Amino acid sequence: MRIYRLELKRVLKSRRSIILLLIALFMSAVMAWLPVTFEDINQYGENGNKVAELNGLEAITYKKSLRSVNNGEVTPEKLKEALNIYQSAVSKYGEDSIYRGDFPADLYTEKVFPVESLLGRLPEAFSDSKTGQATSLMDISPDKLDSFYEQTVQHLKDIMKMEQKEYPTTQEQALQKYTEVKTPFQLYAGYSRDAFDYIVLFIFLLVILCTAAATPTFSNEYQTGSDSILRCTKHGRSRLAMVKIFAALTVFSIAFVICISLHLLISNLAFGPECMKTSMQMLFSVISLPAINLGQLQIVLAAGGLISLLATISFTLFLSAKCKDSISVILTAIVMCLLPIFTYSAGANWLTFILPSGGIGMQNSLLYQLTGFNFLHIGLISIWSPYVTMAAAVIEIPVFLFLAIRTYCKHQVA
Amino acid sequence: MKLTTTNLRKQFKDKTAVDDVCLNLTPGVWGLLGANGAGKTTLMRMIADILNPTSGKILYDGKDIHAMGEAYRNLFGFLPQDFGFFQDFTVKDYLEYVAALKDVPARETRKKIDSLLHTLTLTDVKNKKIIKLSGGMKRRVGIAQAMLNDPKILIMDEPTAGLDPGERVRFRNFISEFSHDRIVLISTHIVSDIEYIATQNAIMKAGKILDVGTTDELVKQVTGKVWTCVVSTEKMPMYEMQFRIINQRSEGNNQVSIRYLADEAKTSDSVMAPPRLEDLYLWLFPQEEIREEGK
Repeated sequence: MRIYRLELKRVLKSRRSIILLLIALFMSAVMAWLPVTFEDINQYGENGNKVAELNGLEAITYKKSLRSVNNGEVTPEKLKEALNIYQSAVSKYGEDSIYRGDFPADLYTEKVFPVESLLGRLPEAFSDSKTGQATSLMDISPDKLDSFYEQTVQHLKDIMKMEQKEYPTTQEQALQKYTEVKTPFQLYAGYSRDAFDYIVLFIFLLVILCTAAATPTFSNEYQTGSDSILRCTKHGRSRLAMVKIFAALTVFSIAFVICISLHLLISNLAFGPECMKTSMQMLFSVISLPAINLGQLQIVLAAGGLISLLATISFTLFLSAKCKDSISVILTAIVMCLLPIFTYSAGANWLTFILPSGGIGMQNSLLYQLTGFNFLHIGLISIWSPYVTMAAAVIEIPVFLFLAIRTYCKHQVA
Repeated sequence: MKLTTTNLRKQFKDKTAVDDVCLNLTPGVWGLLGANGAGKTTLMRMIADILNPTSGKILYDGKDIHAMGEAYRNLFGFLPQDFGFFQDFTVKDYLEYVAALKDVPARETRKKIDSLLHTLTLTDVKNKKIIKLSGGMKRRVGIAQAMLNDPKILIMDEPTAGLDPGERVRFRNFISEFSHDRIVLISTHIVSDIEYIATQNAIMKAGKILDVGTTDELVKQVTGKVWTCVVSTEKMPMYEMQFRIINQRSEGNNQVSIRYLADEAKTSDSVMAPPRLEDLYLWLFPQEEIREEGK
């Protein structure tokens, strides 16, 4: 315990660690605030003239005031009423006019904007069963909305048939998982997908910063020669290696928890904590498999990010125990952090998801795996990609830590 | 108490750094003399159990040191030739850290550190960051860490490098007192640092131990080979070319007193001088050879 305490003191006194942790803390606030600054809306007066151009928090508050009428359960009746409002408002000008920008702005704010988030998933739910192409809101009959939730199941069936054609058990597996999703969905409009993208991006940056801070753990001491002294001491082998590892994991885990908590706190306070009750299906895909709301999704992303961080740090510590040169360690560790982005783009799914940093990045990130239908197959068994990513990371943590300790103990001073 | 190396050998690719070394280290100060590249550091690293021998064994009281593990390291103190510190730690922080690794009880640590800092005249800088210390101070911090656990076996590789003459004298006295009932092995280029405190010396060349003995025993090898004479300063360049001059001192009036090594007197006025360990060192390791080995 005494060595552990002193090692913690050493890590926290290191200028490199302090700088990187301060950057992480600063980034947590900045990256939580950025999506808030993306929010904007024009406010119109009774005569249809623009009275204000709102940005940031003001825009969020105004948008929420327009949409709050639809907050709560997403019932077929509510959807029907909203679609009727939308269609009657848009039919005169045509749906394209909204995207072209020649739709009357005041009418848009009054009629279309308030129902947009409620109706946002309908084109997907009623998409073409053969091509998967989204249907226009104008082409959906309000009568069909009585069976909206049956339609979402049908849509999932169609998608799974397209994506997992050769794997009927996988299709069933997805449908089975989807039965856990609670209906009717909940909607508390206000939270943006940008904010989720920034959570993903922030976790990615946080992992890179912590990785950079962890790289010198062993290699720096090989390089400076201080290792020659330490490994000659009574507890200078396996115990020191364990202490160094646990101190690094403690510092970076706490740093991660503090930074991600601060990030989510700022984000949720800005967009409104009530938005967290929204079903994940109402912000992402209507057929997303996880039976969770946005608040729970944030927790899953944070927990998954922490597991990916620990796996990546464990791998980095192993590298650090293996290499004598800190620069090689940092370069290799950063390449390993970025590798899943490239392997995913190259279609190497298995490799992507079993890498320690498989759950962080861009399209390969846990968020997009949770909203997707990527199943990996081993013989007759199909496993959903988020499970593979997390299971691989959980297994890799003790494996790489064991290898780091073993490598450190076997290191030869030459 | 005995530390024995048996047919110890270390091979690095095509170079044999330590070749069949057999040593029997008993309590007292041992000087390990040898030119650069002689294999002293490799030998010390193997004794410190931070480098595995290619073959041979190192035994402490008959037990393999590698198998002893923690028990051996608990008796051990090591000052490497080149070493670094945690740059952001103060002297006190660093010594506390090493003391914890050496399992020095917490209640004794403060006392032990204060005592070592006092002995090594580091008390004034104990709260200074190590990065801000001079080279000599850093080396003294290195010496302090090696002695934190009152080691039974103390291995120091070039401990006096970077120390000023006063510090070297204090170091010699300190080691002399400390070595009672302990094995202290010191490698150095500065022969005078161990000449008067070493109870035994081992001379190493090209990975092999050439000879082991007390200073008096060893210097007998150069008895009758050390000469002194006084020459004029104009002729010095010529003498420097022809003689193996160990030392020279100005005597005034364009005269220089020289001390040189030769099988027989090179000038008619040369007088045989009593040999010292440094003479033996330079006899065994001529400067040209040292330069070659250093390459």
